[in-house]
Amino acid sequence: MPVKSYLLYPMPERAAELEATLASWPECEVVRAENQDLFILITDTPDEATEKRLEARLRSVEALQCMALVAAFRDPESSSLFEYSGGQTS
Amino acid sequence: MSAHTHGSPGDKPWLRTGYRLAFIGLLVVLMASGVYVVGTSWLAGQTEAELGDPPSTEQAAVVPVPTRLDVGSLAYLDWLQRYTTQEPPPGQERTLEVYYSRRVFAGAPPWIPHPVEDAMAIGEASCLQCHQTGGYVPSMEAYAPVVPHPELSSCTQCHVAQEPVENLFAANRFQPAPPPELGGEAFPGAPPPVPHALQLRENCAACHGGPAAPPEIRTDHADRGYCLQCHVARHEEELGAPLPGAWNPSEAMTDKESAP
Amino acid sequence: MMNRRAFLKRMAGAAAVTAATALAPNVVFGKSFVGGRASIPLEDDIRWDKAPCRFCGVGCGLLIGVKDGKAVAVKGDPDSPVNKGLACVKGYHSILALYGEDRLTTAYVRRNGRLEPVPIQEALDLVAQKMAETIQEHGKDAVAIYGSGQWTIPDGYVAVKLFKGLIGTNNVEANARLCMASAVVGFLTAFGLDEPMGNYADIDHADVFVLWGNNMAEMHPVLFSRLLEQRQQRPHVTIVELATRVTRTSVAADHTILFKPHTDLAIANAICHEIVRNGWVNEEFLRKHVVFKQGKTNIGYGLEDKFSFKDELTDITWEEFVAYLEDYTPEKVAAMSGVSVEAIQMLAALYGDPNKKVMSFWCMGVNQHVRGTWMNNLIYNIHLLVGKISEPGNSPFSLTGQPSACGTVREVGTLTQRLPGGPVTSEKARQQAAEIWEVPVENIPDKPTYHTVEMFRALDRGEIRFIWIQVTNPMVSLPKLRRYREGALKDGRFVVVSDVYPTPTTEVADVVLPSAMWIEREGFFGNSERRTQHWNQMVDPPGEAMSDTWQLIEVARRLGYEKWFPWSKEEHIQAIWEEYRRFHANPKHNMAPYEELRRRPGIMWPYVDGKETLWRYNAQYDPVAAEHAEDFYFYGKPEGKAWLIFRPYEPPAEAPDEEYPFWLSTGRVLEHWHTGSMTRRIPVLHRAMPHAYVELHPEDARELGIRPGDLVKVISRRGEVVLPASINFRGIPARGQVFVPFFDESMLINEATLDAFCPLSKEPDYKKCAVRIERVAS
Repeated sequence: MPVKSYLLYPMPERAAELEATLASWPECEVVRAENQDLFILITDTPDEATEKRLEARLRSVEALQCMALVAAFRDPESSSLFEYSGGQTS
Repeated sequence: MSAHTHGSPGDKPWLRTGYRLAFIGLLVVLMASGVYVVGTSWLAGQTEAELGDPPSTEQAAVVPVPTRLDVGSLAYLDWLQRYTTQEPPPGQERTLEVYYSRRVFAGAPPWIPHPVEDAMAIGEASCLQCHQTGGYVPSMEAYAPVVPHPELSSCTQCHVAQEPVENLFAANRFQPAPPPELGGEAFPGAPPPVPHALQLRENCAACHGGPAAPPEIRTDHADRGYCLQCHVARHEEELGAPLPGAWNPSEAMTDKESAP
Repeated sequence: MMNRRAFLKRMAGAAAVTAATALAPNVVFGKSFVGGRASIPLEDDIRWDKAPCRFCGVGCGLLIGVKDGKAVAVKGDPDSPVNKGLACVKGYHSILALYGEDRLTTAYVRRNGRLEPVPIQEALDLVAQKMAETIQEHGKDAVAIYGSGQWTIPDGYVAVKLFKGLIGTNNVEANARLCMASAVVGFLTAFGLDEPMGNYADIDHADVFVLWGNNMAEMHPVLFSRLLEQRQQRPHVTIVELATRVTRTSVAADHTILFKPHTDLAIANAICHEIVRNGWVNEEFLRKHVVFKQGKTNIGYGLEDKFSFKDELTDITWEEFVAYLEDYTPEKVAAMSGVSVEAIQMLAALYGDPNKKVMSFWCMGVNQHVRGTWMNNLIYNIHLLVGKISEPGNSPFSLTGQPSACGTVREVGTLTQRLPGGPVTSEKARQQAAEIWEVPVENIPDKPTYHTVEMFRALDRGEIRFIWIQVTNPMVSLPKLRRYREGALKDGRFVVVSDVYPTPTTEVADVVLPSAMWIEREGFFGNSERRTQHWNQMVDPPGEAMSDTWQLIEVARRLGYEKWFPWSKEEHIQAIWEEYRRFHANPKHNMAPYEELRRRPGIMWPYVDGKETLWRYNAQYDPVAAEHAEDFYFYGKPEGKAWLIFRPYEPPAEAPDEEYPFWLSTGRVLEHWHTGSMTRRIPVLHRAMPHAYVELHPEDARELGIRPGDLVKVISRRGEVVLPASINFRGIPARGQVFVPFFDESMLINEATLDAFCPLSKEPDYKKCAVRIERVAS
């Protein structure tokens, strides 16, 4: 299942909260810009169901104002050839 | 390589149709267009600022802040698309081998492989006549390669004609690094990353689009426009992400800040 | 094996950075998705590190790519505020200068008339022994060192410390005397402190650029591109060129004003005349910040040995100044210079328009001039009259030709009259040096000895018996070459040459030492805008090649001065920097610390409280000026005011006559730097410009029956050279003039030039002498 990257804008004054929330989720890697309230989020989910759940959870984060998908890669060989953290097949 | 083969994507492993890279359609398109609009309007704003009143001492410098990124690709988008449907040309073809044979090392400014009529000429009136937009030049029996940075008009500052010289002043043992290899995809069918630095080559169309582009690196999907979204620029210093501890231009003082 | 999943995440992250940067151009992310080069299987193993360009004084930042111990690629450093990522053809191919096949990799000693290879340690023994013997037999002023603006700061510093501080002679000179001395004296007379008040950022603010005899398109191409870029972005920007010859710069300029050689003195005064007559004078600025002076006149040309001159500057009133200008009405000057009255008035109007910011550029055309100091003064006079100085875009800007003419020669003080902290005649400067060097102050002589031309005359006369020439090629670059070549070859003269290739100068050497160049050692340069630039050693020097710094240290230790040169090979550059910095530890000249210089693509001095001073003397930018005034304070002078020094027109040392009817001017071309000993070994540059030529006006050529490529003899009272004719190629001289580039050692135009110099700066005039032209029968 896909690796995706997003750009996130937090609600005003809630950047730290957003960062803390996302950082605690195992599927997410979050990088905050040093000089602006702008985040890069990279998500990595093992299967369709997890991906759907993650998307729903992201939508429910209140500190998040706006989110835009940038890129998404589906690892075509993960199912048969590759082990990765999580190691499940889709 | 003969002229009729390079039009077919089947010859180019990095263009194989069977790739399973997935973009999530709508969002990606929205994103790309969003970037495009912001990018161009930002550029337009800059132009306006530059054309305004002459600066006073109180104003900051009117130099546009380079983003050190792919502004070029965006600025030339229309132009890039113009070439998309062009068929490869008849006649002389500039292969990638020829392309590299005219540079001392990959990334060096190519020398001028033809005679130059006016050694004092500069810019718009001379070189750019053919090399800004490209096109077929009968006297050369070839399509003129397009310069990726026509805004720099003192061409002969970097590109010099070569005279037939029997003997060098002294031989030279310089050995360039081999040119970057093609490919390098994350997996078969994935978009290959950009294997070279983008500096002065921000406009992808110049070398990868149109009839003068070497067939090995000519794109067949220029209409996608925003090249770097899929073809990741690999060179650290061009992504705005400095090496740890390295000086970053954002540390540079503005004229104002330098005041005591 | 790289985790594919992790790689995908990196690519996704990098794409996001790309998108974010397009949305918010200045966004900075702490994490890099592309970093960790070693972990990315695509990586090409090229390691990049920054260095200032090896060649001219612009000081472009380069990134050098190194792979397997060899330099393999170059790109412009996008972080360098000098060039913002662009270089010129010399810079891009500069690394090839390391790899010429005939690179000197071992030392040579002349035995029975032939240079024979010897181990470098043996050669250094001989150098030290000869030096000690010469001092013993002929006195300390019989040994000399001659370097250049290509000396790194540590090279020059060690040379000054050894010769002035320990041996105790002021016989230290540098090629910059032939290049920048008039600019130095111009600054010192007008402002009391050397080097420009502004910086290259002035280009981004100026509306008008006036180029005084400066073919920038070929000589300072990256800066010229910045001018062209400004004109493209701000169409009202105007480039005006004053020249004696049509060049690429003229083709690009909005106005080219051709003048008769040497009449620039009159033109500058005519501009002042028109500014005064039209009431464009900035009266408040003059009242608060300027005093009026005049100097001696009829000051000579230095053609005779042991010529000496000392200027005396005396006060004049405004009325006297205005009266002096009466000799320079546009009509009078037009008749003399060939420049139209309208052109003079246009220049005056551009300088005088209160709504236009004006930047003046000049280099060798003004400096290599028998009245070079005067010309520098006159350009400052114009800027001072209208108060256009020391603020963004209003900037008289003296360019340099060598990468560290400023950093080493002018700031370290590798000139006979200088110490790092001031002139040798200043007790304070000597005291400071004695303290930092830990030597008795009596060690440091208080009188200058020989400037460059006189130094080589003294070698000829036999007063100097030992000369060590580092990183320059005087047997190509000195004027009136034959005398100085024959002098160097006389019996009882011992010549040591440190260089990277065989040159006409190594041909006169008794010992040749192979040098490590540029990125083969660690170093610093200082460019034209007060920017100090550090680079790391990136590759190993070939064979036994050794940096000039370390050669000097080796010899100093052999002379018994180990205590003063105690540094280890690993740390000596840092140690030298920290010691040298002490000389400038004041807010007028403070230099940045070593760590900061290593990290950044150059830092401008004065570096005060962690800040560069972008515009000196301006209270808005300069903390020293801010202490004294709200607007400007020229603290180089005791009264805090700049000196506007009236300088008249005086005729040149030699002018065409019936026997020698042509003016000869010499200079450079884009592809070759200085005497070509590096650039000619770069095949792409050699093929672009394989040999020198004599450039003629097409009409003159036609009258003489000369066609392009014909061999032509250029004959002066000093010597003659045969060169192929060039017509309508790189440049077109005015009628009655010829131009010859000096890079070609097989066509030495300096056989013909005259060793007349500016009596104030002692800089020779390579731009004007009289020659005869003959077609060589084929």
